[in-house]
Amino acid sequence: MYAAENIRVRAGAKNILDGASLTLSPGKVVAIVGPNGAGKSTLMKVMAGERRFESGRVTLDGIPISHWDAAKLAQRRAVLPQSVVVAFAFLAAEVVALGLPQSFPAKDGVALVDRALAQVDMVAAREQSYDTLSGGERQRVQLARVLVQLWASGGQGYLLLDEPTASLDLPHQLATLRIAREHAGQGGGVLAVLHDINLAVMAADEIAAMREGRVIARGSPAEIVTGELIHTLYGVKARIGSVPAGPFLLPQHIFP
Amino acid sequence: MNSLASRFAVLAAFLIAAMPASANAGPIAVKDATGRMVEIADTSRIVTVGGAVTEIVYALGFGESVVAVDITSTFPAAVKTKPGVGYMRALSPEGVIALAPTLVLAIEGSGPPDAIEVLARASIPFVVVPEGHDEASLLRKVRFIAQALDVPEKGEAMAKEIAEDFAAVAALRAKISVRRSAVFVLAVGNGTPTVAGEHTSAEGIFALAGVDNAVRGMKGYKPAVPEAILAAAPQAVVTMIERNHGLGAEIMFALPAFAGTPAAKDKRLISVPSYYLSFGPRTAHAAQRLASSVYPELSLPQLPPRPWTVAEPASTQ
Amino acid sequence: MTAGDAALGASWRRSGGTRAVLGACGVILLLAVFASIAIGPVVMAPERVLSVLWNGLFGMRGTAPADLRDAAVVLDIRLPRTLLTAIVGAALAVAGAILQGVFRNPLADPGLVGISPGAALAAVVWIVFGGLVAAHVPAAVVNHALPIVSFAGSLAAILLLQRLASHEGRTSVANLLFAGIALGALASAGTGLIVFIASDQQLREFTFWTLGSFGGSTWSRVALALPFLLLLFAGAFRIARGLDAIALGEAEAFHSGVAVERIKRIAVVIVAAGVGASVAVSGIIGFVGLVVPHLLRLSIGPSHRMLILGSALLGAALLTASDIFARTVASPAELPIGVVTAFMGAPFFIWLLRRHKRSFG
Repeated sequence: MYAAENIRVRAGAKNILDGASLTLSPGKVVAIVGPNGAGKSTLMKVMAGERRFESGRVTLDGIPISHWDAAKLAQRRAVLPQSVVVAFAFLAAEVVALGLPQSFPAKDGVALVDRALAQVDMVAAREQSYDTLSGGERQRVQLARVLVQLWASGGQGYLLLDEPTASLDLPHQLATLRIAREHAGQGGGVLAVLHDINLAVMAADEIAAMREGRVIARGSPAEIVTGELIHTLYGVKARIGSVPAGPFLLPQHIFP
Repeated sequence: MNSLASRFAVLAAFLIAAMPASANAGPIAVKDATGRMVEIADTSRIVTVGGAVTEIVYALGFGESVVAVDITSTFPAAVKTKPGVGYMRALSPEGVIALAPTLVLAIEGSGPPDAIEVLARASIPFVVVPEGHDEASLLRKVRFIAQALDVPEKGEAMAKEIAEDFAAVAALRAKISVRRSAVFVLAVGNGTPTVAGEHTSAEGIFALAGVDNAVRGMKGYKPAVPEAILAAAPQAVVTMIERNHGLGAEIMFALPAFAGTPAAKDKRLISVPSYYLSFGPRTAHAAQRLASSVYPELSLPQLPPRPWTVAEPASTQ
Repeated sequence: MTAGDAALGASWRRSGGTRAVLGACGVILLLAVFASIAIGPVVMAPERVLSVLWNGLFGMRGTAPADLRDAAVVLDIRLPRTLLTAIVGAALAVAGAILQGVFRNPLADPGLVGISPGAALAAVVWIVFGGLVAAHVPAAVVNHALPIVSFAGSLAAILLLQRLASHEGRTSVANLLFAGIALGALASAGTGLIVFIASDQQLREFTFWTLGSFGGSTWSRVALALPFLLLLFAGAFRIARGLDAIALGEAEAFHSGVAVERIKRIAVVIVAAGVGASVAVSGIIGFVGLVVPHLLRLSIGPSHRMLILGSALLGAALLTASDIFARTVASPAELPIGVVTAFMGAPFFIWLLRRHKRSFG
């Protein structure tokens, strides 16, 4: 169990998070949706142990997040940030290998790195310099790095993905969500901040809708993705259909 | 037997004839300024460190044996063609060893200490000459060096003449009834002159010449506020020939720091060579020249020329 | 073998070939060291140098004047100088590599960003006032405390630099350079003030601090600096892997299991120790910490374990070679070694600035 309860984060006079709660569990993919500035990324940073909070509680395996040391925590959860600028000209494979713990056997490490690169369809870029890759390619290399981080400690653990599909083309968006689902299928837990409601519906077991620093609705996609919720979140009128397998939305017009 | 004895006699005669006149048969031992006993066996290749040491070694007739000098040694003119061993406080030990000297005569304060230690390890006789900035220490320096070079009687004669010169300078000072003050200007940068304060070598030569230092309340050579020089009202301005780049009296006395001084009124600008600031065999003569420039109306008598003062650049007024 | 080790680093091909490059650096270093011991105003055949070294190893110096002379030249003059030059070169290059890793910025050089000037200021203040205040304290004590004082000076400079240049764990190139210029200006203003107070003899020593020299190298100086420099090398390898992760960003490094604050604290202390001790024994020598790691990143990549090892080898070789040049080009006089490294490093720095113009914006 990985839980955030009643989290409050202030920046100046403004509450960025105002009593947000969220629970992750093994085998499940949870997607956070919501408008810009709702506090989605901040909540993820709080759960990752990166960001301090004024009040509330974050626990992983029942232990408060602040009690974990960095190395132990890295075995239980990995974080994919929105975009990563690497300071020096590391090769793609070297960036992926940074996910390995310091004392990991070298031979097994190389095998894990290759497997992860294959998963994200980046084997060809193995010995290319990271800074020559496109934004989407970099994102996939980073995904490989966080996969390697969890695989190195048994493949369980929680994957926190901050807009993992933002700079990807359609096939790689789908591939990334497939990787997230597979991770859950193998007993891991996933939290993904997603902007595309359709992708969220497609990939998530549970959707958490955030607005103004709070989780205002939680539940299975079929339960909570309604025209009413979309309007509350975004102020956009939408008609929710459910033609293929689950619900999907068709925006009615671009302007509210 | 006979022929062997006669051969030996010939060889002995040859050896004696080949020996430099000053060299004694055996090595002599000297207790130097650091208290170490140093054995000197050979004075054929000498490195001198310190301007006064070099001058004394030349005056004692060992100029031919000097193989290198430090950068503070600029007199007599012959030293300008000798290889350099750098600044006296930053000697390069290997540079000295490479010259294969049989004797190093260095003024007290030469170094660094590690360099001297290394030279000692390389079994090069390194003799530290006692330093001091008064007449007595100068005479001691002369006698000490003469002893190290095994020519004590020459040293005694030289010391006697130097003592006479200083006595003559003291007699000159007695003729000065109203003392004048002067300012020593080391450099003029951006109109702010760097002048000599208290406890400087310039003040030392002033004292010998019967001149007061106009600059008070400041130690060492420092840039001074122009107004402070005006307030000190010097009656003469002394500069260094090497440093003032031909800065004439007109330019100098046009500077705000000097324009209103009594020195400017009398146009009394005295340029002296840099050795005036170091204490050596020529110091008494330097003091006499400075005194006669500051007090021209007294027509102070000249000192007799000495072997170690010839080829001295004349001071200009 | 662990993931941070050579086995993993070498698993991916680089154009240079990591091992070949490091091997070449080692060979260059050996050649430079031997040349430095063999070349000098006292001319000696290489085999003579080797035999003096060999005998010296067993404490044998001989008794003949020529033997004593050569032993003094090789064992007391050239050997400590060469050793000191090599370890200071290694220390400056490694300190540069670490500094660049911590600031995630290839332009961080201990000299350029004000750390060496900070150490030099502390040293000069100590020389002038340490002797003044504690006139009864023997000069030996003043000299022995020098590396510690410079260490404190460089530590203060780095901490100030972090304060001035970093914002929320990020350091822009412009901020780093501005802060470095400010620190450097502050340090030279302070040194200028000291110069005003200092005696003539202390003034002469001033060029030593500002331009660097190995002219006064002795075994006691080697012993003085060695503990600090060993601390740098030992610490450098411990944090190498953490610095790799910090290249991703501080938050990302934390996510991947690195105790970022601890790594940064260690880095600051060991860089201060290395730079402080180097400045104490040889003055400010710039650009070694800039040029060496950069050249190595181009050939063996930025992975810090190999980069630190390579920087130590190449930094030592480069400074040893520079010192040979500095003391032979105008022999018997000596060029300040900082002048030599600046003539190599400054054009390199300009080239680097031009090359990165766009990304530095």
